[in-house]
Amino acid sequence: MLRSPLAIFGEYRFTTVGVVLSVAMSLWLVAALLAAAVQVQSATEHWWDQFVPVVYLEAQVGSETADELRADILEWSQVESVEIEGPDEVLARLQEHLGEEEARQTGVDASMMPTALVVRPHLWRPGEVEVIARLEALNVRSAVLAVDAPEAGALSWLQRARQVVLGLAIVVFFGVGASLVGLAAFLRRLQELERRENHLLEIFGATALALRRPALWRGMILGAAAGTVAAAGFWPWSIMLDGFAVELVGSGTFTPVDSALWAGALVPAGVVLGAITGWICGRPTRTEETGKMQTLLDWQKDST
Amino acid sequence: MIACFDVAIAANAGASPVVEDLSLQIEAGSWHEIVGPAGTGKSAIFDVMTLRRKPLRGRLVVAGRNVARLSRRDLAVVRREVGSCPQRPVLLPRRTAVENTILPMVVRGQNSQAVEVAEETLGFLGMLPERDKPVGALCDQRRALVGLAMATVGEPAVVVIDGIHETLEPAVRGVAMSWLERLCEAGSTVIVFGRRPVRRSSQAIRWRLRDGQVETTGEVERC
Repeated sequence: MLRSPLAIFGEYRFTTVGVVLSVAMSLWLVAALLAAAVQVQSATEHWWDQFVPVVYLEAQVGSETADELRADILEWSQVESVEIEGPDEVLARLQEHLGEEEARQTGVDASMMPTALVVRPHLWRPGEVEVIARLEALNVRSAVLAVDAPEAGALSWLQRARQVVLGLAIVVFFGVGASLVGLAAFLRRLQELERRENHLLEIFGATALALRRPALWRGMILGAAAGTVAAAGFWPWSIMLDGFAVELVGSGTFTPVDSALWAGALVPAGVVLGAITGWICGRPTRTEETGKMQTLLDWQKDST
Repeated sequence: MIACFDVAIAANAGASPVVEDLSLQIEAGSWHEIVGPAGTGKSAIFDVMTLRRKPLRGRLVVAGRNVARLSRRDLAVVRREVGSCPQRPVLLPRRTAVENTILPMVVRGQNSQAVEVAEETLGFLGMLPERDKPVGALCDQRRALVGLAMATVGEPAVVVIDGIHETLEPAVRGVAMSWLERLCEAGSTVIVFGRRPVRRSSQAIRWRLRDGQVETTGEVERC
């Protein structure tokens, strides 16, 4: 080319800025959503590790009924094991939970304690939280006194958060697609403006790679600029998200170094995305009299 | 330098051949004229020789390479050996005369000497006063000279001109022909397409187009 392929950005300042911001927003959305997904996943696993629901049985329930209920619960795919605890073990659990002194003050003894089924779910997998609903449904059984699952509320909330993230992923997918179409259209337009020059370059011996290079270079630069803007926006977001996670589960997933790495990764991601788009859009074409587009490097096809 | 063996060429895509069984050999450093009336396929042959169009059939050798076997990359390399100027040269109207002229040099990777060589070419053609004028602002005569400058800048191995000299005024045409003769003397192969012969003497090999066939009319004489 006769001049730098980047010089043309100066002639289309507003469009260039618009395209950069659009791609930056897409990159930010993808990173923000991924970070949110990681935080939700981390919080879910945290709560799931502590999720050991206990099913208390009525005092008059015999061991035969307890065994039957245990067998029923074991059939659930989400459950790894169910242990039957007698009144003594339940009292010990209460003492451990309340503290021995406080438990003594309540005046309860083993004879007042029910039999309990301690349910241990599998390691966390998507869909495992269905066990919460099944446990709650046990309340309608006459043999069941109560179901104790204090983490169920947090897990249900996180499940909804997970669904929101998945829903947003679909929206972001289309948003990213739209911004990439915008980037491609801009690069293509610039390529079209140089069609005559490309035609001349080809006639005098420019290779296909040389003809594609300007669009490739422009895509990389626009992608790098968009990645930098996205990184600058992602940094405060990740810190805010981590603070939220600390409030929710007591610990965050992103250290400042993690946030910096995530933000830093947006720049090469933008470069790669821009380069691929530029490479695709850099394909030289010309309009034949019939309106058909064909590459410059194809000879006029009067022989086919 | 260029050889055609039983080449057939159509004027347009899908059309029947306008040139049949074209066989000719053009040696390096020689001056050739391919003459014939309008509609006899001169421009079609020009397109094929300058690698702008594929022949319908036959074998075409340019710069010692059988172009049918060339990859895209090699085709581009061979194109760098050929400087061409069609009847209506394609120019960049918003760029200056010197910017247009250096373009082939840039493609060949001769950037460092491009401006100097381009100025020399424009200077010989009497175009230096218009050096920094946008080509779009020039008259047809001067634009034609810019096209000629693009075809000849850097002394390519083959220079192919399609009738552009016939659009020039006599004085300008003389300058253009002198420039081409100088290139030929320097070792370039010059091929000129036109309705009438342009070289005063028989120092040319002339090929006359008639009814889709070519016949040689002149004696071989090296420049």
